[in-house]
Amino acid sequence: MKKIVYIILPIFTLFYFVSCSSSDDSSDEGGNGGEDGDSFDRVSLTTSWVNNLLMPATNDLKSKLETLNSSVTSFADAPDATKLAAVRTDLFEAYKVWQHVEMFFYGSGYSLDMNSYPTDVTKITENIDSTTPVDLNRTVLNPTQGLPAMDYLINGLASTDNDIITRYGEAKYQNYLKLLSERMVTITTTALNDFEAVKDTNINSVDNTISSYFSIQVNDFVQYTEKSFREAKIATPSGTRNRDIFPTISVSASPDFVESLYSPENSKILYLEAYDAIQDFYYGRSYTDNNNTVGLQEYLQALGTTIMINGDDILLNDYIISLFGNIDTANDNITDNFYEQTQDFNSNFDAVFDAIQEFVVAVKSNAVNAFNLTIDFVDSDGD
Amino acid sequence: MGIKQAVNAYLNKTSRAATLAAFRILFGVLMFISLIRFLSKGWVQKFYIEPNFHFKYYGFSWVVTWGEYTYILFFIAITSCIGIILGYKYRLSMILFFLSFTYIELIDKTTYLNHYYFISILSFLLCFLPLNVTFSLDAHYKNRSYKNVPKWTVDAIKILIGIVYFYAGLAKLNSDWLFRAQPLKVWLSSKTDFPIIGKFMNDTWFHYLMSWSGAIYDLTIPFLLLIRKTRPFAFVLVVIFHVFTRILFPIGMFPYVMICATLIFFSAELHERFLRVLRNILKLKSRVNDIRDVYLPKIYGKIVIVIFLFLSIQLVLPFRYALYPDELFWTEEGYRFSWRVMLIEKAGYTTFRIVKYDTGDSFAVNNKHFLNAFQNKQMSTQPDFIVEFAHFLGDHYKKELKTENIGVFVEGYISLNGRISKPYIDPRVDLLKVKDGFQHKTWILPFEDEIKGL
Repeated sequence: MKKIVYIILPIFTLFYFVSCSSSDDSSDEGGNGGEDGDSFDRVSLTTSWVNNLLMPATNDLKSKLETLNSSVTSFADAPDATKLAAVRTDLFEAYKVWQHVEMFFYGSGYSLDMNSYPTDVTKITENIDSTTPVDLNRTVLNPTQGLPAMDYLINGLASTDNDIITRYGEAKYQNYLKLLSERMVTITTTALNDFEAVKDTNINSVDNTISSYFSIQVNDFVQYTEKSFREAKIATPSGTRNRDIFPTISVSASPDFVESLYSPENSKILYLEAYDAIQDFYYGRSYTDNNNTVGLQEYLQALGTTIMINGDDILLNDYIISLFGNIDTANDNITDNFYEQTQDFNSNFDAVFDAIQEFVVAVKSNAVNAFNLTIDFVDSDGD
Repeated sequence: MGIKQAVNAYLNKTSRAATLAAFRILFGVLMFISLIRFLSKGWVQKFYIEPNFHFKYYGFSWVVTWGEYTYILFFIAITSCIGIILGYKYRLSMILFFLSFTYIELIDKTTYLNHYYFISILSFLLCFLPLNVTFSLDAHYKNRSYKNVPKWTVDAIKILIGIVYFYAGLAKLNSDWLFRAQPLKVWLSSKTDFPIIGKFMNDTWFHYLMSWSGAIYDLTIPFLLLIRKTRPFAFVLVVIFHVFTRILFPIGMFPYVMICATLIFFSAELHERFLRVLRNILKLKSRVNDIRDVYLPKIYGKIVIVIFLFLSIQLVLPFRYALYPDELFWTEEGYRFSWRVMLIEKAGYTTFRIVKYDTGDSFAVNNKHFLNAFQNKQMSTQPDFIVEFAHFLGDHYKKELKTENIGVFVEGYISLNGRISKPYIDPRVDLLKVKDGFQHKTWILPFEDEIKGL
């Protein structure tokens, strides 16, 4: 009988443990997935994203766009050089703030309406000349509106400021400029209201499943860094994609793809704003006062995630901070006007690309892995 | 001829038939539950019906999904489980189970798991063994049952289980597992919510403790199970180990399968008692009159040879990796079917770029247009998946772009067991120009690091 005890006892233990751990099952294999497994409080992280970054930045954008809208109205009603200068200043201010907002609305219709570039001059002209009202909700018209289109309308419509001002003697130019500027206020207000409605739900949606807010925002951050930051701002205009390692997929330079093409002297400042936003997201630096709150950094520190480089395991956070250092160094070698610098292959841009790429890879592969986000619900034995 | 005599003497040894009958019932019940569980999770739809594209095992591209009719395969497998449990037309049931289960597994290698492979080869082995000569409907209808079976029929199962553990242990004897506690460190660090011991999950000593005890467990458990004195202790270890892994990792039914499978190491008395309890609970009355001593298969010699060959292959196959250059964990050449469980954690991504040679234009492919998240994850880190997908993309875009003159290039980074991520596939190589095969894949970039060990 002694043998039976040996067998029965563990089997009871088994059922006891498995029934106790039913909540762990769910995150692994589907279910409702309410658990994330580690002791780090993800809600503090989502709260920080929303309250310290998303909300203040988007509210600031909204107020900057309202300011822009009023200066556009006064310029359109009575165009002159002073008012044009005011519009330019206000547009630039709004454009800078936008860099802090985009990652939170990555890939949304709102983002596409706000910042699809290069802007489509042919279609803009068609819209201006159109005798029927233009429906800017159509996705094909993304590149005829938003910040890049405004940039064209006030900086690139004609070669001299006087000629630009002369154009705005015509009602159709006035109307289109006003239409775009009003629309940016409207869609930003809508995006803000839509987010407010789901804000609390989102903050508490932190499980490992691919549909949780935590998971989506981490993924959007990575996508944003890759596509909107590295690709759109650096790789596409300069045509460089890590030439040493990926020679086949580097192409010729396309300076026309520079952000704020018609005020290219601003392009580096916009790029640096976006870079600042990326660091804010990582460190958890507040948009309003730059105070360090909770960010991805705190999460990685709590997990103690390491990365092995040349045989040594070092903290992933330390490594990522060093990668920011590399990007800083590379950034110093590019100057303000991206359009001028991307006329030909530019090794300085290649270096910036490389530096950003290392950061993207560290986050996309090592950090996301450490967060243990579930790719799919399925059995695995780790092979 | 001492050896010959020893072999003959061994082949003539017998074991109680009850051991095999008890094993048959447990196996049938567990497979039945596994399959029902698979169905209830909607995985048939998700893995075999929804995907537009399936990754094939080399040489098995003819195994195609049956679409909606894949449920028929599951129906066959489940029905044969009932046959196995009851011991009704056992041989036919077992063969049907082996064929349907293996067919399902061969449809898409995305779902490869060591444990599914174990089920497949175990069910192959069981086709040849007399699991139905007692306590079965077959015996009932034939009105004939046997008390004993040749000892090697039971031992063959023990050897297979022993191989699974011992080889899993051998595979753990590498520098990442033993001296960096990887990949357990990556996996355990995110489990600090675990009751009681959760607070240790982030501690380095705990990662090492788990790694080392896991390796020692795998290497010693077959022997501890074989020796009568240590057997009860070994079984307690088996249960603790598997329950622990079950709670920590999403490994489905595997722990239960292994716990039940190791029961075969116990004495015949235990299995007889198990059958007796079962008989009493179900109020079965045996009406078999013709009870004979030892069951001997009709084609005895041939079956012995098949099983000998089968087990020899199992012993040798896991070492095929030694024929390839570079790091096994990096290239994964010879990695599957070798009981390498929970040894590597690869993180990273692989993207494809289609290049039109005549214009030089290129564009990046969104993998998610063609693959589900699970397929995409598996594809990103395994070279044979990558080349297969590249060829699929080649065919697709040749049609869509109406040109033959395209190339498919890869951009991807992989981090292995917490190392810094590095480019994985040679981005200079047009994958349409390479073929998958058993030769070393020269288009995998070198690992440039070393993981010492077996």
